[in-house]
Amino acid sequence: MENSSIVEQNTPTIGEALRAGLAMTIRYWKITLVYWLCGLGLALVAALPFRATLLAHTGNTLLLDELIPGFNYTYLNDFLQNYGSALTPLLNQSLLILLVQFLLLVFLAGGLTKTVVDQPTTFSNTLFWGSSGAYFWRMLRLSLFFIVLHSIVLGIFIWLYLKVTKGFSPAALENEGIITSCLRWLVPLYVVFAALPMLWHDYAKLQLVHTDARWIWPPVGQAGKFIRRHFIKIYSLYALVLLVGLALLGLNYTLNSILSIQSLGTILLSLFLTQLFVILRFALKVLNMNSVAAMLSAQK
Amino acid sequence: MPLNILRFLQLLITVHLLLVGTDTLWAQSFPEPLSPRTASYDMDIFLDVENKQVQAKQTLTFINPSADTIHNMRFHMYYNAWKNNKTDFFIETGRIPRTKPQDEIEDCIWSWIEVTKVVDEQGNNLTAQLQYVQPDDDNVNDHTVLDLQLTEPVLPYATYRLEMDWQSQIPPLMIRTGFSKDYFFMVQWYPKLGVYEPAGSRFAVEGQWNCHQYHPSTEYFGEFGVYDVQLNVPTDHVVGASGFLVEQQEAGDRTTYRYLAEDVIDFAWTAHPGFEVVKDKWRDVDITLLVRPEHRCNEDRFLQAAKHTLDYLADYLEPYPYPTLTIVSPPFYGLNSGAMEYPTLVTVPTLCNLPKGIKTTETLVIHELIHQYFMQMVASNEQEEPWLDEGFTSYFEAKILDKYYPEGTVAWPFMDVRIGSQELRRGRFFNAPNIKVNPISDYGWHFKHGSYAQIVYGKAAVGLRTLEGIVGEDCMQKIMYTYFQRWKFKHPCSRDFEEVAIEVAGKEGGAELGLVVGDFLQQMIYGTTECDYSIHDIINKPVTAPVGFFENTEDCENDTRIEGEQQYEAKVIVFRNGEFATPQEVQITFDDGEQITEPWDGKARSQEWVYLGNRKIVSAEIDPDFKIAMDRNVLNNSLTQEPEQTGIFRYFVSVVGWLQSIMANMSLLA
Repeated sequence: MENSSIVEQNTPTIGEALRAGLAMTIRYWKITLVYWLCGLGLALVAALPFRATLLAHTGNTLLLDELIPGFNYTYLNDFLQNYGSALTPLLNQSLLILLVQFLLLVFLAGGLTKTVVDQPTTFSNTLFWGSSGAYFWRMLRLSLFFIVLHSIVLGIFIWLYLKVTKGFSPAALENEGIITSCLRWLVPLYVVFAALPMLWHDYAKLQLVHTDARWIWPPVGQAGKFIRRHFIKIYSLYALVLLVGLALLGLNYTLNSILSIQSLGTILLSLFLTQLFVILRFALKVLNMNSVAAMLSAQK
Repeated sequence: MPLNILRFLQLLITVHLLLVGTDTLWAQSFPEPLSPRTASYDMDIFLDVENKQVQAKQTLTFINPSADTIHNMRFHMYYNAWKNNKTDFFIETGRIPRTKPQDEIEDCIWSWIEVTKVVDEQGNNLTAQLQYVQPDDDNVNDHTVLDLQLTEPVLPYATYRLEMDWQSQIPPLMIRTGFSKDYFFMVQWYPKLGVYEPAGSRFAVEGQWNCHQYHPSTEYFGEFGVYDVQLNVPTDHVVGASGFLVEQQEAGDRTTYRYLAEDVIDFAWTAHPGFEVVKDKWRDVDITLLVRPEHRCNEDRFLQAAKHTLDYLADYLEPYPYPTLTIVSPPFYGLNSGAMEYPTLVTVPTLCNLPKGIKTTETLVIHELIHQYFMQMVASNEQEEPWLDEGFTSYFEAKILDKYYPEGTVAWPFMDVRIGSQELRRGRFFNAPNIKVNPISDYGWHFKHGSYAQIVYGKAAVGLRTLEGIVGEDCMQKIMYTYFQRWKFKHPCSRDFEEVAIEVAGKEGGAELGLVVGDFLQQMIYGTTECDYSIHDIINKPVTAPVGFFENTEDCENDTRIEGEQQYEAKVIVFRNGEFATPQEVQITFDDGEQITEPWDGKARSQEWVYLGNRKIVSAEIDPDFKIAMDRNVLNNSLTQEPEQTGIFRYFVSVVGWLQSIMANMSLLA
């Protein structure tokens, strides 16, 4: 396997990798479209019955006008009190749909990775969908491994938080300030550490596709070695993408908070903004894979 | 006689204080008593912070309020609730947090209070005549009520004095009182005389002591009096107490604080070296905030909420009469003492790390201060009829919060979240596991299967709000004002409020309104039924020409044409789904924009209104002004012919966005 693995040469700068990644993201814009449409489709599958349930039980009540600005406690409370049981199957269905979405994302990961590794001149349907199917089970195993790894990191940080806050016990704590003040360093620290399995996962996917390995462990090991050798550059690149992602999340939240919804027009504007940010976030995912591939491709 | 003695004592102390030149606040003493001062206490207290104990000497002056000759006295001994694990408190505790940790059990850390000596005015030693009794059950392990058989009975309307020595082991702070590290919060901490109820008072058919055991879900009932209390504590401890500070004398590492609290039903105090003292004023009232440095971020919120409450109640009922008000904000490790009310002293926990949009601090300040009126001045029995204080307080709490904090008690910019206090209280009531489990008139400890807070606080507050909807805001204020004026510094019961409400409503709105109010209060206080009305249907039936046989079977009318405009028989059908009946208004809107409001007594199981004309009904709504807050489902209160989908589309769009966002986040793991 050593012969088929990536041979390291000079790595590009972060800027070069990002620029190359951006160019490829634009070239393969259909991948972003596929991700967005899959997400939207599944979200609609979950949300349409929800809408139908609200309409069936409360479609003819005058209180509906008061929902337009957003949250209405009395409406929600009375709905849950009187018709809440109707939402239980919908919530279960939504969880199932999220599971389906996860499997779909794993499925698409094969197509995305193969495309960024092979770098065809234009988006190839055959390559994308064919690879999605071909790598599905291996990508699934890889994802499950990294979810376990991520859970361990998360578990360690939860344990640390409970330790620092002494289990939130009023009797044990001198004051409650530590409950939130420690989050100021604990959350950034968590993000710093949580980024590691995520970026390792991305490099392992590329290694897996590049080497067409049957088992996930060799690519995981090769990716790990590669990251260790170029840790600062790789981590900085990933941190930059992560920061852009967090900035997008923050901007989305802020715009939603300040947008005063009073009419159908503003509801549609909110829908448009939401879709725009979802597309941007999926595009960022594609860009991340492309820039990672750009960094690796320069070293073949 | 007794009042003269008290005044003489006051005069002596005043002269003494003037001579020794200490800061005296005697000028704040009431020129005339506000209350009957039936049970007054003179106490010397030594706080042993090392051993967590109190040693005390106490003189009780009792004025027999009746024509009865009284042969015994009953005292609350609340600290004995934590004497063993078979007391009523522990048996009934249920899901109250931190009942007793294992390490305390192993170290035998229990609390108690015991009277070591009691002597009457004639010098008779009555110590041997003390006996624990259990008036509520036969639990002999419960020592929270102490009976004292008197050698010399208390004669009708006579004054009787007892000297007592007692000591107590302070409990680790579990609920409301005790110590946690260096923080002491001392409430229900002394042998407290029960309330003697003469025949005809409240529910008493003959003279009796009202002195229940300590049940964890219920609060207290006390007699009015004057508390003259000397607290000897370590000098580094900051002290706060009911009433006002008369004198402070330092001797070595200990300081004695002398507090005087007049016309109050109880006395509470706290000592803690970590407190900082913040002073403010509302009119002539000295406001003291005892707060830890880490909680001073909310200092303005405490004080502003307190002033809003005092302003509101001054206008609505009457100005707060006491010269002082102390707000204690406990340390985090003393959280279990929080959110309670005592005469002129309240405890309000706060957390600076909560978002500013969550108005917990304001809510608690407002709630506990309202209790100065309902339970302190109008001293109803919190054990037997907790709704009379908690329900009234919750009713006013919602009014004050909604007036001064219109942005809501919970506000968040995302999705424009704003929850008003009134709707939150209503929601919490209807979210009870079972809103029918007990009537609000029940004894507190009879709520054995949950829903106590939702019914006692929630149903009562929502019910009073509904009463306001029925009689109107002005009439409601007159009801509350009359009730307060008639019963301040007395012990009313539910029946007394009913009588006032019926009387005032009758005066303001006629005898019929009085009957409606009486009927409503019967259902609200003593019933367990629920209120739900709905618009069942709107029918716009075209009026057709008469066709067929009418006068005989030979001449058939078959011309279906109608001259002029199409006429309709427009009909609205309303159901009463619940057993609870209230007067209602039904607003009917026609397609020409006209609205008609139909009054209805709300008693029939169904009702219809029919209109003949050339217009159709487009919508109908029961209770359009949302006066009947007790209606458990407002979604079925209205009906439109054409569904309005924009609001639902708004939620649909949000749900789609949330799901997509989750999916986008999931892509990090795949």
